[in-house]
Parts: sequence; C-alpha cells; structure tokens
Amino acid sequence: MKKTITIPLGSQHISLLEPVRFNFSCENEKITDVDYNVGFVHRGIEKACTEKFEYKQVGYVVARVCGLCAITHTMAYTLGIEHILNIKTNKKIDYLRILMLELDRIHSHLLCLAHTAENSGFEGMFMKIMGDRELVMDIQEAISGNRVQFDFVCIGGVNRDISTECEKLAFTNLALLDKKVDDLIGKFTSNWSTALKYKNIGALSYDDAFNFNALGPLARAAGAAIDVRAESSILPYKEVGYKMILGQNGDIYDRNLVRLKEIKNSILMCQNILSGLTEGEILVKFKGKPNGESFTRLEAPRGEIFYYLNANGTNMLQRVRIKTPTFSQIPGMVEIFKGSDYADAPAILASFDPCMSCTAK
Amino acid sequence: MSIVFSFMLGFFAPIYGGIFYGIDRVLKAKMQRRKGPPVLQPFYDMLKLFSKTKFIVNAPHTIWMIFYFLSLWAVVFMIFFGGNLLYIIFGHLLATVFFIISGYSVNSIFSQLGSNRKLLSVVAYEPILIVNAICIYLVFGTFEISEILAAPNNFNSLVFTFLSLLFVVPTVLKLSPFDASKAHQEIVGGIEVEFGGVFYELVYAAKFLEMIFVYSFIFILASNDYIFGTFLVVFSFFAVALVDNSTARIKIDSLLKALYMYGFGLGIVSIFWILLCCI
Amino acid sequence: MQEIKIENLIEEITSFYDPKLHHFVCLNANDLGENRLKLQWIFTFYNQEDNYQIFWTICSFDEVLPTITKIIPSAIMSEAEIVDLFGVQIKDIQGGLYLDETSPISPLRCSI
Repeated sequence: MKKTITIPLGSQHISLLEPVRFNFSCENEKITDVDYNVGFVHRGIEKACTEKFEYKQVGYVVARVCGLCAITHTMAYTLGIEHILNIKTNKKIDYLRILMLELDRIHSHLLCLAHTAENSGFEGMFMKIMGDRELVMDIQEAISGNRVQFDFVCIGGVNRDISTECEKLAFTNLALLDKKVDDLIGKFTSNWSTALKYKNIGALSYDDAFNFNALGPLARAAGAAIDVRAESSILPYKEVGYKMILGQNGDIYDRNLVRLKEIKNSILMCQNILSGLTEGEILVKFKGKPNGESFTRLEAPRGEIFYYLNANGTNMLQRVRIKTPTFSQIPGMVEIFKGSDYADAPAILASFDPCMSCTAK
Repeated sequence: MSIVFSFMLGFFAPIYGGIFYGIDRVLKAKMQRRKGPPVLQPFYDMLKLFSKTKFIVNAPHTIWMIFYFLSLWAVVFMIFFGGNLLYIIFGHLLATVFFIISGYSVNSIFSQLGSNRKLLSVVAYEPILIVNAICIYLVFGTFEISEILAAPNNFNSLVFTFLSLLFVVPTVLKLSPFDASKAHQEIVGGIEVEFGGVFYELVYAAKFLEMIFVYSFIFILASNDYIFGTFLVVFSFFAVALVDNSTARIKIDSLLKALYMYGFGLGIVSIFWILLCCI
Repeated sequence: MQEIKIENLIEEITSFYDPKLHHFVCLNANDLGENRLKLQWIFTFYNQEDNYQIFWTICSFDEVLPTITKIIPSAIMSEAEIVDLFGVQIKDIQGGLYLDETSPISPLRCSI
C-alpha cells in the first residue's frame, strides 16, 4: 500500500489570496515534506523600472508590486533615490511618511489576522476584523485620496498635506480602533476553539528564527528582536513612540498577539504624530539626475524590505533590486510546515502573511 | 396527521428545507453585521446550477451520490410518517455511507480526505444518536415517532438528551466547530468538491434534508407539546448558528474527543438522569 | 564593502557569518555589460544601526558559481532568482522557480 499521499495547496486554492503552490507529502495528514513554487505572478517589474520608466516615475511603478504594502515600496524606493540625490527632507515630511507607513501596517496586520481566522474556519471573526479594518481604510482614504494604491509619497516629500478634518477623523477612528483591538485581543486569547487551532501550532523556535532568516512578526513572535525600525535611523521612529513587541513560543497564537500588540503600538505612534505635527513644506525642491548607488531597508508590515538602486547619471536607472519579506522566508516556512498536520496548513500559511506578488515581482 | 399531509411534508421537504437554509444564511449574516443573501438564494442557486453543463467525473461517483440523496429523502419520509426512530437513524447512516463511498470513488485527494473525515465524524456522532434514542425509549417506552408525538410532555427527563443532541446538530450539518469533514479552507468542501451542475444541486438539497433530519430529533423531545417543540428547534437553530459564528474549526481528532467526552458523556448522564426521574 | 574572489566565497562567508549576529539580506546581481556580472552578498548586523557588510565580486557569465545555501538556507531564493533572471549557473541550484518555458530567457541580462 502506498504510504504517503501528496496534497496540493495551490496554485488555485480556496485558502489562498495569491497564487503559490505547496505540494505537501503527507503520511495520514501529517506533513513530511514540502515542495514549493512561487513564481506564478512574475511581472518583470525590476526590468520595467530600468527600461520603461524614468526615475521620477519608478516610485509609482514599484507601488504596484504589492497592493497591501504599496506605501512601503514607494517609500523605500524614494528614500533610496533621495539618498543618491542627497535630498534632505524636513520633520513634517518624515512624520507624514511614518504616519502612512504605520496606518498601512495596521491595515495589513488586520487583514492577516482576518485571513488567519478565515483559514481556521472562523468566518465570524473574519467578517468582524474586516469590518473593523474599514476604520483605518477610511483614514488612509481621507489622507491620500485612495483606498489601495495611495501614491502618497513622492521624491522630495509627499503629495498631499493633511487637513484638519482628516486629523479629526483620524483621531476618532484610531481611538475607536484601539478599543476594538483590545476586544480582539480578548477574543483571540479566550476562545476555546482558537486555542486548539493556534496554540503550539506552526511554531518556529528562537534559534530557527535566526537560522532561517525570519523577519517581521514571524521572527518577533519567536522572541527574536528583529525589526528594521529599531536598526535604521532613516526615519525618526524612536521619537514617535516605537516599541519592540516580542512573543515567546513562535506559534500562530503568538504571531496573532504580536500583530495585535503592534497594531496598538502603531495606533499610539499615529496619535503621537498627529498631535506633534508641525507646520512646514510638504515638498522639498531638488535638481539634478541621480548618480551612484544606494541600499535602503525599511520595515514593511510583513518584515524587512530592501531596495538596491544603481543610477548612472541619466533619467533611467541602471538597476533596481527589490527584496521583499516573503521572498527570503520561504525556506523557513517550509521548515515550519514539516511535522504539522495538513489540517493546520492553511492557518499556518495565513499566519505567515505571505505575499506572492512581492516574492515574484 | 393524515397520510396526505405527511406525504406532502415529505415530498416538499427539499423546498421548505431550502427556505430554512436561506433563513439560516440570513441569520448568520446578521450576526456578522452583514446584510446577507435573499432568503430565496438557495433556489436562485438551484436555477443557476440547473443551467450548467451536466458533467460527471465517473458514473459510480454520481450514482452513489444519487443513492445518498434518495435514501436521505426516504428517511425524511419515514420521519413524517411517524416511523421507527432506530430505522431512521440507520437509514440516515446508510445514506451517509453511500455518500462516503461516492467520495472514495474519485481519484481526488480532497474528496478522499473528505470521505476519511466524514467517516470519522460518523463514528463520533452515531453512538450519541443511538444513546439518545435509548433515552427516548426509556422515557416513552417506544421507538415509534407517531407514538412519541402522541405521548404527554416529559421534557424534564430529557434535558440532558437535548443537550447531548446539540453536539450532534453541528456535526451532521457540518458547521463550526465540528465541520472538519467539510473544511472549506483545507479540503475545499471534502466530498462535495467533485460535483458540478445539477448533481451538485442534489448534494446542496441534501443539506436541507439533513437539517430536517437533525431538527426533527430535537422536535420530538417535546412529544405532544408542538409549540414547545417548535421553541426547542428555534432555540437550537439560533444556538447552533451562534456557535458556528463564534468558533474556529477544530481538527478531526479534537472533534472525536469532544464528541465522545461531552456528547456521548451527556448521553450517558441522560440515561442516569432518566432512571433517577423514574424513581 | 569587501571585495572577494569567487573561489574564496564559501570560506569568506563561513568565517564571517554567525546567524545570531548577522542578517543575510539578499544576493544582488548587476549586469555591467561586456560579460561582466557584479555580485553582492549583502549582510546587516542585528541591533546595529545602518551597518552593512557587503561582499562583492565581478565574474563572467560562463563561470559556475558556488552556492551559499548550505550556510544560509534562505539564500536559495536569491540564488534561484539570479539563475532565472540573469542566466547564471550556480552549482546545485535549478532554474524555473520564477520563470517557465514560455518566459523570456534571462530577461535582466543586457549583454547577450
């Protein structure tokens, strides 16, 4: 009798938001080996950035790498090119940029939590979180004018200033969301069925977090203090109240809690920024064409995002290299899957918050 | 009940079952702060499914499923004609076995995993049904539904039977937390995954019949007090929808443990309770 | 930045890399034209601000490069990517993870 069975998850599967294929070799629903394919959405964005678009347009092109962390991609690119062009931005611009980054983190984390709940068969929670997420989407829409592709950041500054009504809306919604997140923390920690589904499931150990180069909430849930916000001085995170959130066990339960607590920290940062916002220009004028190379790291909602830019003094860049969080974490994910039950696989996968558009680009 | 009325109830079961299912969906949507589909959505789905290409994977797959649907319908007829409770339980078991065989007959991993899990969930809930049938016999002295429905109300003795049955309802209807055999996000609906068009409509309509099957168990607990029986059904309908909305899906081994520990445990408690009540 | 010779890559990385101290960001390739490919292995230090350690080398497209996947498991993604996008040969790394048969061949290579 054949002992192992192969269960495909993807490239089209109900529990996936984006195309990726995992082939699980299972013994009686226990996963023994995993094979993966991630390149279903390769769109050649890196090539387009160097051949089709000028450096001033590239910021808007890289936003299309991923819908969820669009703002982070543009920001990382912009910071890189500003480094090459030697543009110094003022405090107001920096604050507005962090504000949008953190709002983006809130809505991305909420989406991940909702998706994890949905994949563990908890449709009611999915609907609730998606409903709550509208609060932060409304703030983003009010500030940037768009719901998904914000196109808020541009070289030298930001495209729109924040109005008093926006500020008021943001304060109201953030306060409301803060309460809802407290409520969610209660729901995630006290539900019998989610405890069965999340506790000690899909755990990544502290050592493996380092060995497999884990990033973002995946690493922090395992207790590894890995966060670009703490390792980079490019944006003034420490001034606005950033705090590292760490978990202990590295299982789905801890990942959820780390995300929820990070949302609370992000809300606090946004509130601090809004109350400390000064008057000032939102766009710094600059001249010249970029020449040189830059390395930029930024903490996207899912983990570290890295941009390498090489410019040769023309309007077209010579090389744009995008490295996204999910990209380097696939081997770590595969390791976590081994030994788990297939029944847990969708929830584990959702708790990684994988982004295939980012990975394949 | 006249024979004609019983026949009508049985014959139109897939129709009003569909309306119950529509109400169920609206109720769940309201609990999730959504508007939800129209109550008649199951019938719009039916029209849509009828218009699709009649495609089958292989003949046995479809034939076993048709057996499943027909035998389930026959079980519903038996209920309305006031048949024997044990025959009804075993008739339902037979129908489910047809469905499981149907799932095994295709070379689809999701369908086969669905059959595996369905088989395990049957192993989990079937003893509870039997124990509860015994409880009902202990109270009323008969397995015939027509006689039970004519007997005076003795719900006090059957409280634990009712609680025990509340564990069976979501398992049979494949609702959270006991929906591992369907597991939408894991095995894409399990056995249901390989059906399409009009044949899927039969699987879909079978869900309505399953609803009638489990809720009639709850209804007969109130014996001749039909209003109280309706109340029990509405209460459990609401409770099951609430639990479905507020829990995640548990794994099949946790399902087995939970059902044996609480469902079966309550069934055993119920027997002692009934014996105590008799004294 | 530290220039290394491609033959010494494994030794250099092995002697440098400590998983608890260093974070491997990615392997970056840049086609400089005239059959010259610049490779950069980019590392950062945990808990240190803006501190990069970059090993770089220039090689030709004909060389078979060594893999560092045995030292750093997550490097396989970067290596598989440059195999696909630049048409470089890396020992034990298969192409086809990002592109398939109908895709353009080595799209990021400008010096074919």
